[in-house]
Amino acid sequence: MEIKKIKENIFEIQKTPGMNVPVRVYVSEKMLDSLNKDKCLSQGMNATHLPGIQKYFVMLPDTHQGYGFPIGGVAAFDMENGCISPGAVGYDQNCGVRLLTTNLDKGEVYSNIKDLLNEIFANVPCGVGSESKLKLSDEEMDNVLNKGIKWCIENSYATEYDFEHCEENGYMKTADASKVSPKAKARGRKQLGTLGAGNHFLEVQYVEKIFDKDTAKAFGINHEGQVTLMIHCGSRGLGHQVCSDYLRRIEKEFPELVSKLPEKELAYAPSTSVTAKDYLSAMSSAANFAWANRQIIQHNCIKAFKKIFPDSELKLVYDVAHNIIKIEEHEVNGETKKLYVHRKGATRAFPAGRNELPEAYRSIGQPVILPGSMGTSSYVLVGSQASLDLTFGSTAHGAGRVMSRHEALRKFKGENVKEELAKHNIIIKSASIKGISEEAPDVYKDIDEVVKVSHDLGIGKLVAKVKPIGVIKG
Amino acid sequence: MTFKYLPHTADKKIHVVAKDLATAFGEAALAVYNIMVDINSIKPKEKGIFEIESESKNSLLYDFIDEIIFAIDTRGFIGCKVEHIKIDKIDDTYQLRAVFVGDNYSNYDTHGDVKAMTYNEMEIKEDNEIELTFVVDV
Repeated sequence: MEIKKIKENIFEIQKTPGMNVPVRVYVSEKMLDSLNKDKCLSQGMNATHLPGIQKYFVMLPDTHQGYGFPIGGVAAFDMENGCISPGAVGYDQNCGVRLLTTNLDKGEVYSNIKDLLNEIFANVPCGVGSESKLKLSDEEMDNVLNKGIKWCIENSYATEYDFEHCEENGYMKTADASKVSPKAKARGRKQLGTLGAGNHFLEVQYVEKIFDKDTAKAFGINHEGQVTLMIHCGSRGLGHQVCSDYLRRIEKEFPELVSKLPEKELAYAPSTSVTAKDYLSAMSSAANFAWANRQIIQHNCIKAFKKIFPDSELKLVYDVAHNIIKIEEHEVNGETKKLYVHRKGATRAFPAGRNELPEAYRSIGQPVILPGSMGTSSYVLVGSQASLDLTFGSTAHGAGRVMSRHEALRKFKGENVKEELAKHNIIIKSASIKGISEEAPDVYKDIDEVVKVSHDLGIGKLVAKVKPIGVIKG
Repeated sequence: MTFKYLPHTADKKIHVVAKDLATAFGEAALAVYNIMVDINSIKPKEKGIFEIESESKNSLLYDFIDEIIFAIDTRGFIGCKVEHIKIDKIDDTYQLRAVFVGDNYSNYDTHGDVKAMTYNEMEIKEDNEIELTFVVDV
């Protein structure tokens, strides 16, 4: 494999036989070495075998090994002669993150953090097998899948304000619950409004630094020390089942296409096929489920805040999806084209002016929320023009895992990690002590470096840095 | 136990060695259960019955583990022992019937989650012994 430096923070893997386009890797020189430690680069090359892929396959600064696509990967496909690939979205469809601002200051929250975490923990089911407090009928379940946040408004879990401050307004119109299998619905029914386990978390944070005062203000981030809340989770078992169901359907319907691929997880359906359309409807339904999930968690967190801080007010800054397919217009060879943009472990980062942005941000640019690993800082960025030129309007989605869970368990003891973080005034509450070791901060890449590359390239520019006070892990 | 876990950055890679395909599939399922709860601690209180039909051995493994995960997520069933497992090839399809004994996982301390089966790095080697390798999303 030949990897060539194009300019600062931009590398390219040249086309070799089988590849339809080159691979663009957006990392610093310092990060390039770590990419050779896993299979992400060869996965990026494999992804270019898919038909109708445009320009180049994009690997973002937090890229690491996944299956099929690497995590931190973006590819755009022609809507006539291209394809749709469930594996290229990943198993957790619309895994994503939302950020809320509060009218509280870190001092008052510090002194009540344990009570606050206990209250949130009591309100939001967390951890393996955590079950929803909602008991939904089949019809209601379909309404959640078809309407996302609109269902939440009808059922008093959301307000118009939430609707206006969420990617896609918190519901994809392409959803069709009838394309989601009864199996997937059965898994999701018990999980709506639950955090789950693994790398998902809830974090009470404060604004540590503001880099861009005007943009921060437009996002509702007014001063350093202001307390924020971050919610990171996805479509739970429902989304996983949708991915498995469609991967198997594609394998059965297009065996000759699948057999030619370097990896089965890249299985695709041709753009104009019924299967592609059905998957898009099912994925959109799973995405709506994920938005409803994060919204209900937000609703229950706000209740917990109100109990401990009766005068508290929380406002949604934005909610972004990390694993998703969108129909978007991008410029390819001087021509504006409608494309199927696949993002896996990547955040949309649109600049000001794009119609897709909510009115509140149309003249500013899209808020990009980048969660760090447990106990490290997270960032708020703003989408900017270079993202359209370089990355199909995308930037990184987080820190990027570098150490296996297995190795993490051997290396870190949950109790020690907890103590170490407590020394830095970060309190953790977790459903599983093992989960703490698996998600120890050192198992991730340095998020500061990821953000620096994003900022320097201009694909997502620095607005503010937030630091955790209290963390709830599944 | 004839299964072990191999290093993998983000997920869980499982390796099984067994004398025949059916035994290997049974061990594969136990390896998945063991990610959540130590299978030695699970009491044999109820039965989990699985009947799967697929077009190839690889897809049979995928569909089987997919059903195992579905039963965990919806019924809470987690197995500790294979009571019976059989795989037949009838015309162009592979048919599996398995009976596990186990319990509801809510009665135990869980130490991990299994979210989905994948085709990633899946390999079924058949020599004198059967070797299975596959990755589950955790």
